[in-house]
Amino acid sequence: MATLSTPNHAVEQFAEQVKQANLDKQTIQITGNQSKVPLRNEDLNGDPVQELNISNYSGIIEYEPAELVVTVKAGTPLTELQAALAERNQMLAFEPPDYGNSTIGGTYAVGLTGPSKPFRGILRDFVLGTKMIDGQGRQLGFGGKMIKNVAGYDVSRMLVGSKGSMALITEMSLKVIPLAIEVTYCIEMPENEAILLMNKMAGTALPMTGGAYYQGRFYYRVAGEHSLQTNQVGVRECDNSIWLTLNPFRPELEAGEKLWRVDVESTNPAIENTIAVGMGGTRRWVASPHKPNHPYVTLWQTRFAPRHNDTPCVQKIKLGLRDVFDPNHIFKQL
Amino acid sequence: MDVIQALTDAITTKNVLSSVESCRPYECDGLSAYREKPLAVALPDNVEQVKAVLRICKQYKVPVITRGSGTGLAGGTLPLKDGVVLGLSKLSEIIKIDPLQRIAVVQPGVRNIAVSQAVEKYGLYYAPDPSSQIACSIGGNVAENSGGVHCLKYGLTVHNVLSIKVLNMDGEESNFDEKDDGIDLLALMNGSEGLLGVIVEIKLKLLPKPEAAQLVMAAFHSVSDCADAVTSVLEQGIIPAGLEMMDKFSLMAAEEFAKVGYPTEAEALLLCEVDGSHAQVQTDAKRVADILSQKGAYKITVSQSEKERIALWQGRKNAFPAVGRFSPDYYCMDGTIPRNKLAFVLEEIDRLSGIYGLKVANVFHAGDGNLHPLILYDANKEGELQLTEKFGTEILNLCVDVGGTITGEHGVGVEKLNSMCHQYNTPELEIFHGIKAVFDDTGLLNPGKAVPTLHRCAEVGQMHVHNNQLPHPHLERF
Amino acid sequence: MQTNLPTDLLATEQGQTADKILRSCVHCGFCLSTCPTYGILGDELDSPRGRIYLIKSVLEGNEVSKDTLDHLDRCLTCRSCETTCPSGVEYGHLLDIGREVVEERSPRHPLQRLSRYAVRKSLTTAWFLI
Repeated sequence: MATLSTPNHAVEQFAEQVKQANLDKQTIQITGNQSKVPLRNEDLNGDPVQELNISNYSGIIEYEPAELVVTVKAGTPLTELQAALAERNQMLAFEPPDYGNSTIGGTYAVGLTGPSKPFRGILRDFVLGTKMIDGQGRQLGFGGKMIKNVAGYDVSRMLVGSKGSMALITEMSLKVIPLAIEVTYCIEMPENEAILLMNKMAGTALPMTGGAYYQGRFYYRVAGEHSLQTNQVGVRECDNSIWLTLNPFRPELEAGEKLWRVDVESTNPAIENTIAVGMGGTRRWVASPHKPNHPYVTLWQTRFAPRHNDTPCVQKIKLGLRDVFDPNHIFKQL
Repeated sequence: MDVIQALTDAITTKNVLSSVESCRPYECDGLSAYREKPLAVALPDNVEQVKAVLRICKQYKVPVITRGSGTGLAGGTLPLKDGVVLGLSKLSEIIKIDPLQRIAVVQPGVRNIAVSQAVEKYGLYYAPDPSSQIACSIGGNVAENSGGVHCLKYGLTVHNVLSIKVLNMDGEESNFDEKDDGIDLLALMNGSEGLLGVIVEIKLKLLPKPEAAQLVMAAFHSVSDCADAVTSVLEQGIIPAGLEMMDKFSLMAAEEFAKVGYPTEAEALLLCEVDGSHAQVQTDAKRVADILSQKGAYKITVSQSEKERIALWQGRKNAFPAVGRFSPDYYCMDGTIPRNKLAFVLEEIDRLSGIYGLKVANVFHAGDGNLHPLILYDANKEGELQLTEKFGTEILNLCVDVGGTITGEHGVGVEKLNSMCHQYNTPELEIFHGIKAVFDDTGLLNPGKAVPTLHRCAEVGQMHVHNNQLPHPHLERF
Repeated sequence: MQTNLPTDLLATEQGQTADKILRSCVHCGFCLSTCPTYGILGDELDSPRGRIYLIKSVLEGNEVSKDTLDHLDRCLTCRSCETTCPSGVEYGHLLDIGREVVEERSPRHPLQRLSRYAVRKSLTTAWFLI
């Protein structure tokens, strides 16, 4: 793999590399710090791919706390971004999981959100605009730095989850929120009761920002001033670290077991072999040799691989859109 | 057989309007300055009939303009003279409410406020609340990605929709869900202005009503003090549920309609709502009031009851049409700007207002930087509409030049096509046209809206660089 | 809203009133929400905004048929829309003018006239109360 990346004029160079790949009919694999899964350096036909690494294209471009917007280069590590925001008492509302030096670009590419998902929203909700290089090496910009913007199709939100297969995202503007002061409570109970309870509680005025079930305990997190919780039977305050245990979730598995991420309706009853329930009940982690029978299941060790469960109509749209952004199929499909 | 006959056969005579007399009231939406009589209006009763209409229109190569309640302010549902208006107002059933899961599944013709009313008994509500929420439809909200006064904290339509069912010109149904793998087609559909498909079912996220809410109303002697105060509130880490600003003219108009006691002597009025737990609201309301008075508010009123809070909002929510009391016509702009450019942009608008000789009333979603200047004009006066449009375009270009956008929540429609050329370059526009073609290779879904042709932009471009002079040359370009 | 009433109509008091009311309407559509007939039928033509447009069209001298009359007839004259209208459009007043003009221009069938006469008379006689 030939690595080509320097911080200066980096975007120009990225664009050049993509243009050259068009001439050479060469497939490109966009990478960051490869924290999530190792990517194979060959395409589906077994031909070698060229790496385009963005990890050196890093840093905050513009940050105005009063505007609640930060503009950042795609290779910026999450830790660096989060530290800069924390300094001004702000944070990323979608609490991205850090797999170890994960970049914001990689997080965007996979569309990963943390425990506050049903409460504050998902990653794409906080994307305001992106700059990118398409498959022809053209530099494009969509959206902007405005919280509200409906001029043109919402390309910058659409490409969340595109896994580097349609365009190279170089910069993005994200909406940030004030740093939340949060407390976690827990109570021991069976899983099905916990699922019911977390749904009931999410429908009350309690300012919840997390709801999970792990190792026999129902955990919930509350932000800001709220009514006393520990006067209820069995409820006690516990450590906020549970949310880091679940985000990213990296359990020890028995031999032969696989980790499955199952996305369901929050009220879905307990699923067999579940080892953790997160995101207010909408996320279930299942450890099992076999694929759970649900429509939205991801085998976590190959989380980049598509689920291949699109209807023909949707499949056709996705293939068509790929041609729009990358007509010569330069970017590697996973 | 012609298309009207085919439609009549498929969805019955009573659901097809084709006489000139009956089609005329459909010739415009909330932007009545643009009018065109459609060939026919189809008002299907159910989804099967919608599919039939689409298939027939495809067969006869007739454009389809999907319409909800027709409250849009950008001409997004302006008919074509050879096109069929597909009105979805009869698809107004709330299919399912699940209070435990906090979702509602609705048909596109359901009115925005009807959702909140239907789930009120569970202590829930649907958050996006455009000013036209009593009349506008959820389908239209998704098509335009509508906002409202509570966007800053609770998001736009795109943040509150969990899945949708969409039809293409063949009447084939696709489901786009938040849980889908890969690229986010659900997000793409929000704000696509009826160009990519016909939305026939929507699953909405419902939120629990906050325990308490309080409105702080602050009057200022100067617009720029008011603008600065907004920035301070956000800097202090408070995200108000709503943060709205009105200038003297619009607050007077609103007071005339609502009679809620707005201080009509003020130059600018700020409405700041905080919500959450009782304790949080008390703390925040006090902090907001302190910040605002430090920043020069000469009069501060804090709502003492739910009744008072709602009454104080009434004026703001009706501010646009209320301006209709002072002028036969108004033209509502929707530019969005960085908040710290607000004072500058308002001054520029004031200057341009003098040059064009047209009055402007300003209503501002201050929290999210969304500016709504209303240009007052008289359509019965020869040439005044054209002058107004020119003025409007200048305002939008100004918004782009300070780093903002031409439309925050109303959509491009037909009205802002030229301004799109100012905001986007050729490659981005090519991508937009490419996306459209993937979803609708016939080009029959709401053609001519939202995305300008490259040809049009070439012409607009020639106009813009007239004499090699860009407007506002002193501004840094973004 | 832009209007284009013929000058001879604008010379009359009725024409001036109608023009003033029409021009106060900004076509925002808020009235759709509180109209009972629109709520059931979901057709713009059975909403206050649609009827205002139909009346405007008639007053501007366009063709008119039984269709317009039907839509005006369906209005219950509850004037609920007036309470919702932020622009202060005097819909009820305009409707009175509209009904009169439309009935002149698109006369009712003699049988319908007879039945309407009968209903009007019978409902207001004392023996109806017994």
